[in-house]
Order: sequence, then structure tokens, then C-alpha cells
Amino acid sequence: MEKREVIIVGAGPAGLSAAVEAATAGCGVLLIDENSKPGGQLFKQIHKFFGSQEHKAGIRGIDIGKRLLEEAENLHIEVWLDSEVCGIFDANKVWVVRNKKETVLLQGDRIIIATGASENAVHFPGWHLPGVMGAGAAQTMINIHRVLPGEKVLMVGSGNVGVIVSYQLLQAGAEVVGVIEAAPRLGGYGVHTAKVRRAGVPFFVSHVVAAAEGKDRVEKVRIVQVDPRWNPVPGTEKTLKADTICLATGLTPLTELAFLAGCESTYSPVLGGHVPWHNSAMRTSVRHIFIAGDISGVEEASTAMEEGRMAGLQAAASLGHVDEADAMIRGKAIQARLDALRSGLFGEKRKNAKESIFSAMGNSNNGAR
Amino acid sequence: MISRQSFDAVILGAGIIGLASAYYLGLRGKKVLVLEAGGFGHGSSGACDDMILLQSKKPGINLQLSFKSLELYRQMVRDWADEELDFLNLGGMILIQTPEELTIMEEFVQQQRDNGLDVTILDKKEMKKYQPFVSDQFIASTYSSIDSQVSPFAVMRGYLRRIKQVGGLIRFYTPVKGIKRGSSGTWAVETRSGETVSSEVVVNAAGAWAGNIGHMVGEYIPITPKKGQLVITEKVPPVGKTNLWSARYMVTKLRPDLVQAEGSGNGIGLSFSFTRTGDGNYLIGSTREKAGYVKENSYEALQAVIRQAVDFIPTLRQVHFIRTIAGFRPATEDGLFILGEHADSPGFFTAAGHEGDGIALAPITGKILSEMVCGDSLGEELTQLSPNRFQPKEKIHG
Repeated sequence: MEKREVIIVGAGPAGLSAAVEAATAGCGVLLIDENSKPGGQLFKQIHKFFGSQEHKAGIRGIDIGKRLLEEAENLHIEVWLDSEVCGIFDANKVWVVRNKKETVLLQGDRIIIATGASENAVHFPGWHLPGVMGAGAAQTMINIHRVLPGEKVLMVGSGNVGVIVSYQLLQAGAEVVGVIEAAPRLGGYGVHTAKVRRAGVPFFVSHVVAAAEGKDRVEKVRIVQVDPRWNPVPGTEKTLKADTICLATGLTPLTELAFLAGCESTYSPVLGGHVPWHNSAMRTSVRHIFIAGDISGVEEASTAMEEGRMAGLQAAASLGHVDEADAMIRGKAIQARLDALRSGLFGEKRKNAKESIFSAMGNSNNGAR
Repeated sequence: MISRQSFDAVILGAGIIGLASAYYLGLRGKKVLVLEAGGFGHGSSGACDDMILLQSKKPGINLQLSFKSLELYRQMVRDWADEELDFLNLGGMILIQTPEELTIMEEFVQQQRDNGLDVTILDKKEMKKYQPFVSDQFIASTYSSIDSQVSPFAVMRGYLRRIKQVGGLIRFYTPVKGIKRGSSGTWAVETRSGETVSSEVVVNAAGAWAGNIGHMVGEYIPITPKKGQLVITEKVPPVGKTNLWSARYMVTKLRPDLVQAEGSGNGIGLSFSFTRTGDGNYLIGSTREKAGYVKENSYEALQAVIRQAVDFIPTLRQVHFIRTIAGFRPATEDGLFILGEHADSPGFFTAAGHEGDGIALAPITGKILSEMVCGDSLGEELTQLSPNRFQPKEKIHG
């Protein structure tokens, strides 16, 4: 059986950062991704990131992705693309199917799972019609494949994904006929929301989709106001002409691999649902396995990258590549940056949620097995 | 918190057997409490395939009860109009690879026919009419139109709702710590969280864990877990007209000694089962492994199950396998499940040990259990299932 020191599953922002950190520390690293290109969601993020200088604020996601890839190349990190990880067995064996052909079983001294999250769907009559898609899928179509998913788009969900993708759809030449939000107030950052509003897009709070209608694809959509108990208010239905409905209704951590591997789970509604329990070193209940990024709780690319660095550093330290004092200093620096990213109105909630995960198994060292 | 202190019956285990038992006891007017150590579907009933397979049953009590159980399922489909049970009657075929298997199966089929099962042997050409995609290595098959299937989750949800409707209580994540006989002759069941309830009757429906429950009252219940691993495909158009099994499945199940003697080499009790769910996914199995209570899927077993599937039905090469499951089949030494009251522990019943037949036999198990608890007069043949059949052996070992 082939062996690697550190095997990382997922080459998005978290996985790439983990790979760079672990390889810099001197680990032999293998980075695996099921897609044909590394970078995960970074390459469709053509907007500038927020935060301070050290969080790469003001730089577009796509450029951050390019820098990370360059770093990985300079470190000669081994990357397997078009490779699906189908399971993790006995805590350290990774089953990979390469190019949909070849089955390989690998052993890793440490495994870092950075599989990200998947988009949630909401169900309404007509949700199966062509033209209903995840907002992330629409973003991939316009920003990576340069294909417009439709001409008249209704965005469901006013969080950051909803407003950012709405703006990018406008830039790509689509008309956004509206952004609807089930909650009584908008969910996204003011800056992103304001850009969409200035472009004249109507926003409807306390509204949900009643039904999508059309013969072979979406032709129009009925929306309806809901009361504080989420029940439709009679007489408030409106019909909008739309050929595309984008669902920006949240993300769910992609936890299957971690749970197959036997990692204990904990529940965090703020961070997207069931996540593998982990401590602040990103270590799970299975000693060899670390996690980073959205699998550990849905946040943002900037936090995913810092968590990746933390996982890469701590995996390397646990293998003896970083001495204890050094690991502690660098770990504290990463933690400080994470804390800074998790400050403010939105950040505080995530920080508290994260801390309740850390404490879910009591003393983190005792939690590991 | 359990809102009352005394019950007519406390059922331990909310798998399909425990829920069926609670359901039928509820129909008889009994106040029941079901205690489950894990969550809904966390045990074997949530990690198995969906078959109500009659062809696999040994002529005798298992086959007789399977007929009755299938009838109860049909009644359930009629009476529970509001539940989508995914009950299907696709029929089943057992694929035969070698002349030796054919001889064994011809004899077995004859016995089953003598016992009233509508089953025949098909030659290769006939077999291919039903199953154009199976590999040429099979020389014949059986066919029975009666083999059926049902979604275990849907059945359990249906039982759950109806148990609650008649006032029954169900507590998940409530493992039991101890069972003691009180001075008034009733049982005191203590949960791990420290609550105690009293009950006239305790029903041990803990499946692969039934032995542990038996131990709490000093009863010997020789049930061992055999791990079965399955893979699940994406939804695909029908592959053939019926569900499939291999003759080896029968031999593994009915004559494990033969498989070992023949040195099948895989060490994981590999055999083939192939059933289509109501949604169009296929459940493909399976193994029978002695692995204690280690529930994780293993790479070796999954590889073996998938390789066999592609070998038997080459078109599956084009299909994605999207999930895997593993569950413990609660196995007894003699291949018969356990149903009845323990002679030395009046009021303590066991309904467990169905190995691979739990789904098929759940309704009839629950129904008979309720009749036993209510003291109905029952057929003599049921003594074959009595837990007391194991007593002498325990004393020899003791």
C-alpha cells in the first residue's frame, strides 16, 4: 500500500492552505480533489474580499486562488485531480478512485478532510423544473464557464451568496427580477446588498416561492408573503416573469467522509447543522483525522484558509515536523486571525458557535481517541 | 422524563421487531413503553435490505410464518392508506452458477413447492427473458412471483405513529441499565439515566444485543451479531424484471457449514442480493461476517461486494454506487429466531434473533408476541421458537 505523511481531501481554500502549511513544515503532502481543477469555489469569486490586510482584504477570490496554487506548485505538492475519495477506513486508509477508472488504497499518517459544503435546496411546486438551480451553480456558469443560465432571474435568499451572485448575474448581462427573503430582514452584508439595490433590483422580505410554473422549464414564479409563523398571507401573491430561479438558501457541511471514518459529530444550527466534533487545533475525535473549512461549520473562504493553515500546522506538529513551542506560537497567531475574522455582529455568533463545538467533548485532549 | 411509572409491557428495542411488538400489544389495549438505546433506525432495521423473501425460507415454521407475515403486510398496505410503504411485489429469482448448486436448488425448490410455495426452476433461456443483463456464467435460476419488498423505515414510521395514537410511549436514546423482579411479581426496569418503571411484562426485542438484555435477568440468549455490508446505487432504470439472489446466498444462509467446508476463501461470507427500492436505487449485498460489534464498513468487503455485482451484472459498471451501509444480523445457532416467554422468568419475553429475516417476519412476530402476552392459546409448533430451547446447553456449559 502506498503511504503519504499527510493526505488532504479537497483542494479548495481550506485544503490548499493546509497543504501549503504542512508542506512548508516539511511534510510529504498529497492533495486530492474530485474536480479537474484545484481551487474549489475561489475561482468563481470575482469579488473583493473583506477584512484586514493580513486577510487579503481588497483582493479578489480568484487572485487569492492563483496565489495559493503558485505556492503549492513552488512547494512541489503532489496533487491528484479527477480523483474521488470514496471512504476512509481504519482511521488512516483512504480509498481513492482516480479518473473514474482506477481504485487506489492509500495510507496516510494524518488525513485532513476539507470537503466544503453543498447548497441547500428548498422545495416548492415546480422546483424540479429546468431553470431552478443553486445560486452557486449559476455563479459557476457565469464566472467559470461564461454561460448565462437565463435572462430573467429570481434570487431566493438575501444572504451574502444571494446578493453577490445577484450582482454578478447583473454584470454578466442577466436581469434580476427580484431577491426574496423569507425572514423579515435582509441577511447579507450592507455593501453587497446596497450594490444590488442601487441597480434597481426589488427586494421582498417575508416572501417565499409559492410555485414555479412553466411547461418544459420555468416561465414564471408566484411569490407570497408569509406571516411571523411562516404561513402564507392570503391575497399577497405576486407573479413574476422569470426563466431562472436561483436558490441561495444556505449550505450544509459535506461531512460524509468524516462520519464514514467514525468521527463523532456535534450539532450546530448556526454553522449549518451536523459537523464533526473538533478542537481548536482542528483535530477530530479520530486522532489521525483533522478537518478544515466549511466541513467544520459553514463560514467564509477567509476563515476556511485560516482553518486550513491551522489543520496543516497541527498535523505537521503532531508528526514532529514542528517543535512544540513553535507550533504553539504559530497556532496562537492563526487563532488570533480567526478571532478577528469572527468579530462584529455576524462574526460573534459564529465565534460562540465554534467555541461551543470545541467544548462539546469537554477537554479536547480527552476527546481524541 | 417518562411521564408515567407503570406499564402493561415495556419493550426493549425500537427496531422493526420491537415496534411491531408494541404495535400489536397496543391493538390489544396494552399500555406500552418502548425504550431504545439509540435513535430511530440506528440498529439493524435501518441498515439492511428491504426484502420479504419467501424463497429463502426453510420449509417448516419459517416458511409458514413468512406466508402469514406477507399477508399482514398486504393488510397493512390496504389499511394504512396514508403511508407510502414502498411495498412492491416484483418477484424474485435465485441465480444458479454450477451443476452442484442446481442439484441442491432443485431439491430445495421441490421441498418448498410441497409446502405450498409457488416457485419454479428456469433454464438459461427463460432466465434471460426476465434478466437480460445477468452474466452468462449462470446456468439456471429459480423464479417465484411471490417475493416482495417493503421499506423498513416506512414500516417503522407507520408503527411508531400508531403506537403513539393508542397512547404508547417511545423513548429514544434511553439505554437500560438493569431489570429486576419486584416483590409484587412485576418487573422494575431501570434506565441508565436513573429512572425506573414497573411493568407486568418485559419484551426483549434488542436484536443483536438481545443477549446483553437477557444477561440482566440471568437468562442465556445465544444470539451473535453477523455483520452484513451493502452498497446502494444511484437511481437507475430497471435492471431486469425481478429482484435477484445467488444460490450461494441460500447456501451461506442455510448451510454455513458447507460454505466453510468448501473454503469459499473470502472469509466474509460473501453472497449476492440485488433488490430495487421503490425510488429506483438498488441495494446490493451482502456479507455475513463475524466482526463482533464493529459496525464500520470495510474496504475489503465493499470491494468484494462491488466486484461481485459487476461480475454478475456487467452493466452495473456504468452505475454509480452512492452509499454503503453495515448492520448486524442477529443470528442464532439453529437458524430459527427466538419468540416466547422464559420459563424461569415469568413475564420476560424475547422476540429476537431473526438474522436476515427481520423485515419479512416482523409483523407476524409482533402479532404472535402480543397473543402470547395476552395468554391466547397458540399452536404447538411455536414451541420450536421458544427461548427455553437453549437452556440445557447453558447448564452443560455452566
